[in-house]
Amino acid sequence: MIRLKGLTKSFSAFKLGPVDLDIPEGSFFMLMGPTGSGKTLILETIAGLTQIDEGCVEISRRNMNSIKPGRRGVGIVYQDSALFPHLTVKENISYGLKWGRKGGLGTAEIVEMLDLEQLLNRLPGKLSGGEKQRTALARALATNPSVMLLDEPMSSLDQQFRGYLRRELKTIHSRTKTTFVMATHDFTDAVSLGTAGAVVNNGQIEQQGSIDEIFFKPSNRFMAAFTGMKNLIPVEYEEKKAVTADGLCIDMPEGCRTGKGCIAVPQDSISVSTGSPVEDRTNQFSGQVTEIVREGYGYAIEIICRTTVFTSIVPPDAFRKLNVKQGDTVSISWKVSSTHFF
Amino acid sequence: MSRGPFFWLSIVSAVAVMSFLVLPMASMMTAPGLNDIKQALSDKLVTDSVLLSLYTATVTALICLVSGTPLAYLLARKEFPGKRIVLSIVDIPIVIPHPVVGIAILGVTGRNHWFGRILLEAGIRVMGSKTGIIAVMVFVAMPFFVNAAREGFASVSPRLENVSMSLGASRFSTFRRITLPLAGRSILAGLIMSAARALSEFGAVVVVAYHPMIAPVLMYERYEAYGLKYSQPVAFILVVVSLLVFIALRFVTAGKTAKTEERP
Repeated sequence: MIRLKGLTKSFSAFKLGPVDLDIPEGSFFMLMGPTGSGKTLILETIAGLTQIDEGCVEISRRNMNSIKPGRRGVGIVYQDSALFPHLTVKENISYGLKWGRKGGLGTAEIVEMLDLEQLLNRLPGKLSGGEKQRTALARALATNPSVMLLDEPMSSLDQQFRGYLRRELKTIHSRTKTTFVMATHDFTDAVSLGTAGAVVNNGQIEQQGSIDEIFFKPSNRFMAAFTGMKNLIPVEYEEKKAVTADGLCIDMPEGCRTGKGCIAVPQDSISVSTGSPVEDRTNQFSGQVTEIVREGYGYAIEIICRTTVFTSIVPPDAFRKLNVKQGDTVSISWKVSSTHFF
Repeated sequence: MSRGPFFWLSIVSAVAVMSFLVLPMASMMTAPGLNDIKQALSDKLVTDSVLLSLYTATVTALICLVSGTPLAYLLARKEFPGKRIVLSIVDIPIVIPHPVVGIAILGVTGRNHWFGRILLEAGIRVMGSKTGIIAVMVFVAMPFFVNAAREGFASVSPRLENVSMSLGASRFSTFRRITLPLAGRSILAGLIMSAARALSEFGAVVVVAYHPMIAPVLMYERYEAYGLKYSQPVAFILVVVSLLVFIALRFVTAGKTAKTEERP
C-alpha cells in the first residue's frame, strides 16, 4: 500500500495538496487529470525526487520522507523515456544494477519479455518511440522495484504502438505483481489498464476509487465534465425531482439531495425519437434539433427543450433510421437511474 | 531560399563580413618571410613569451574549470532570489574595458587594501608576477567558461538525473556518470574559449604585469620600438602554436565526451 497523508508542496505559481491518497498494493493505479494538474509532481513525491513541504509518503507502512530516492524501491518511467543518451540500451538497462537489486525477474528475462535482444548495442538516439519506452521500462524493472511510476508513458507514441505497449504493461504487471501508478489523461489507458484510480485537478484530488466509480459515478461537477458528460445542467432539487431554470421537471433517483445543485446526464444515455414516447421512461421531453455534428463513429445531436440544451450521441445506424435534420421536433428520454446529481 | 534580391543581399553581406575577418589575418600570417620566423624562433625572448602565454592560459582554463563548474551547475539547475544579479555579475568582465580590470585587480591586491595586505603577508605578489597575469586572465576568461558550462548543464534534462537517482545513484554519482558526460562538449568548449580569451588578453595584463612578458605584450613592445614588421613574426608564432594546441585538445578529447546519435 502506498499512502500519501496531507501531502503539500508549494511553488510560486502552483500549490499541490493537501493530498490524501491510498494506492492498494499490487494495483494498477491510474492518476488522471488535465495537463498541469499535478500528476507528475505526485509521482515525483512518491519517488522522493521532490521535497515535500508537509505530510508524508508511506510505502508498505514505512514513512519514506527521509529515505533517499534510490532506497525507496521505486522505478520511474517518464513520458519522454529519459534514457541516458550516451549509454547503449544494454548500459541503460544495467545502470541501476551497480547499486544492487533484490530478487524479481532477471535482466535477461526482462530483455526477452520486452523484446529488446536485437537492440542491446544501440544508442537511444537510434531507437523508435516505442523501443525507447520499452527500454525505459526494462531499465526501471531491472532493479526489481516494489512500485513502478509511469508518467504518461504512451502520450508520445502512435496509436498502434499504444495498443501494443498497453498489452505489454498488462503482461508486466501481472508477471511482476508490482504496484503500478500511471499518470495519464487518456481514458482508453485508464479503462483498459486501471484497477483503481484518482483524478487530480489543480493540485487537489477530486475523486478516488475504482475506475468504474470514477467514470460512472462522478462525485462532482468537475468530475462529470472531466469524464466527458456534456449535459451538465444547473437545477433546484424539490422532493425526488430536479427543476431547471426554465421549469423542466426531471425525475431523480433515490438519495437525491435538496437545494440548488447540478445534474449530469451521459450523452449516450439520452435516446432521441420522432415517434411515440418510450413507455418505461419518465424523463421525456419534447424539443427541437438545433445542430447535428459527426463525432467519432456517431452523431452528436443537440436538442433544445424550452431553453435547456441537451446533447445525445447516436450511433450511425440509429441516426440513419432516425432520419432527423436541423429544425425537426423530436422527443428525448433517459432512465431515471442515468441521472447524476451534485 | 529563392534567389531574389534578399538572397543576393545576404550573399554580398556575408562576403563582406568574411573578407573583413579573413583579410587582416591572412595578411598577417603571410607577411613574415621564412627567415623572419626562423629568426623569431631563435630569439629566447620570443619563445619564452609564447611559452608563458600558453602556460598562463592553461592554468587560467584549469582554474575556470575547477572553480567555475559548480557555479555553472548551480545557475543551470536552481532558481533562487537574486539569480539575475549573479548572472549579471558573471558577465561584468565582458563589458568593462580591460585596462580597468587591471587597475581594479591592482586596487584590491595592493598594500592599501586589506585583501592585498593578506596576500603580501602570505608571500603572494600580484604586480609584475605570473600570479598577477593569471589573476587578470581568470577575471576576463571566467564568464566564457561559466556561460558555456551553464548552457551545457541546462541542456541536460533534470529527468535524467531523477531517473539515475531513483535507480540508486547518489547525487554525486549522477553528476559524474550522467550530467558531466552529457555537458562535456559544452564544458570543453568553455575550456577552449576561456583559454583563448586568456591567451589574447593584453589590456589588463599590461597594467598588472608588463614583466614577465606574455606574447601579446612582447608584440606590443616590438611594434612600439621597431614597427609592424618586427611584431608580425611573434604574432605568427603565437597564432600557429595556439591553433595546434586547440586542435590537439579537440582531437584528444573527441572520444571522451558523450556520444548521443539521433535516429534519422
